[in-house]
Amino acid sequence: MSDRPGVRGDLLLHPVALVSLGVLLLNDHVLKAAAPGWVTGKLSDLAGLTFFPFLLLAARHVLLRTAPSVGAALAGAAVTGATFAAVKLSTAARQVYSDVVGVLRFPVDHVVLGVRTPVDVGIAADASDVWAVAACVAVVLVLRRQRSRLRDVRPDAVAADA
Amino acid sequence: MTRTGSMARRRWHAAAVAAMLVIGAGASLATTPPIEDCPAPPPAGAVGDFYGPQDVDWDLSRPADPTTFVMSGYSVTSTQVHAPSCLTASDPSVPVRVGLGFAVGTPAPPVEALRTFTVTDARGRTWSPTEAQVYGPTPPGPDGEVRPEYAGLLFDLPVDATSPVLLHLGTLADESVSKVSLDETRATKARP
Repeated sequence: MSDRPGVRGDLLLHPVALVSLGVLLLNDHVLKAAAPGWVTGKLSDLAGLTFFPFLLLAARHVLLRTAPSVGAALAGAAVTGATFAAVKLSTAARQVYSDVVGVLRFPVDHVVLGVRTPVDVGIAADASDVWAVAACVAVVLVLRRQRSRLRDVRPDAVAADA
Repeated sequence: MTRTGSMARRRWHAAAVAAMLVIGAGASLATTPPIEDCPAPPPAGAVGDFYGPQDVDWDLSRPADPTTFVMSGYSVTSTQVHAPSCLTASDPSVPVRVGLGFAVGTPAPPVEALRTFTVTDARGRTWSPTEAQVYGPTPPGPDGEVRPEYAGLLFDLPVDATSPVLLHLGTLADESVSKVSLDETRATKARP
């Protein structure tokens, strides 16, 4: 598969990715404190689940030099959705996720909060949150639309990409 | 667009992607707040080992061992221990709650029998419950589910309670079970 013209990882500059990250940041760091409740909790899930598959595909593009494809988008969306659902539904999965995220964010927590050891993250076990995994589909729709446009402009590029 | 302009545009895009990767990864990790540290963690040994580490603000909640048993004909389906976190050596006492869930369709024992329960620790000290209550079964909900009877016991234990901490079943003790451990077991050692 060849790289499309542009910069590796530029899927992250798509408006859907930019808006979802903006909503995630605004919601988690402003709205949740100003108006904690059901809406801000769900908004965080929706924005995060929309954005994370974009992040996965962009990181893959940068690190592996493999341009995003619809198939990869489906895989990224499935991995993101399955992980989120497992964390919400399974105590064991929640524990593993909490430990892993605690370790990953430890360097920043150490500097910012002064913690001495990795601190577990608190995760609400709420099965009713699982419907939000539908947001993972956004990346698939974006890539399908991009391919469709590219097919109209450069049929040869789409054939090579497939 | 000139070649110089095109290169500048690519550089700008590359920088924007890099920034998005960093901010996005950070936002993904930071979206869930960490459990907060206790404001004044006590030095090691100041709080009894029964309560576990007191470095983070996460209340103790764990099953007793055994958690399921039959005592004098009463079928207990779950036994849970609860205590607050962030204890300090100067706390006068610690409210430790023990909850007993009973099998659906079977009654809980009378409160008088529950009041004979006691807790002991490794130093041989004994405490009686300061509260004992039985909560009756709820009527069937829309889904037809009935919540079974439940008993709650409250013990005011000292902050230096030392393992093994045992719940003695008082007048409900029989040959099969007379006490259950309220200590942390290997299976529940990890934080929830």
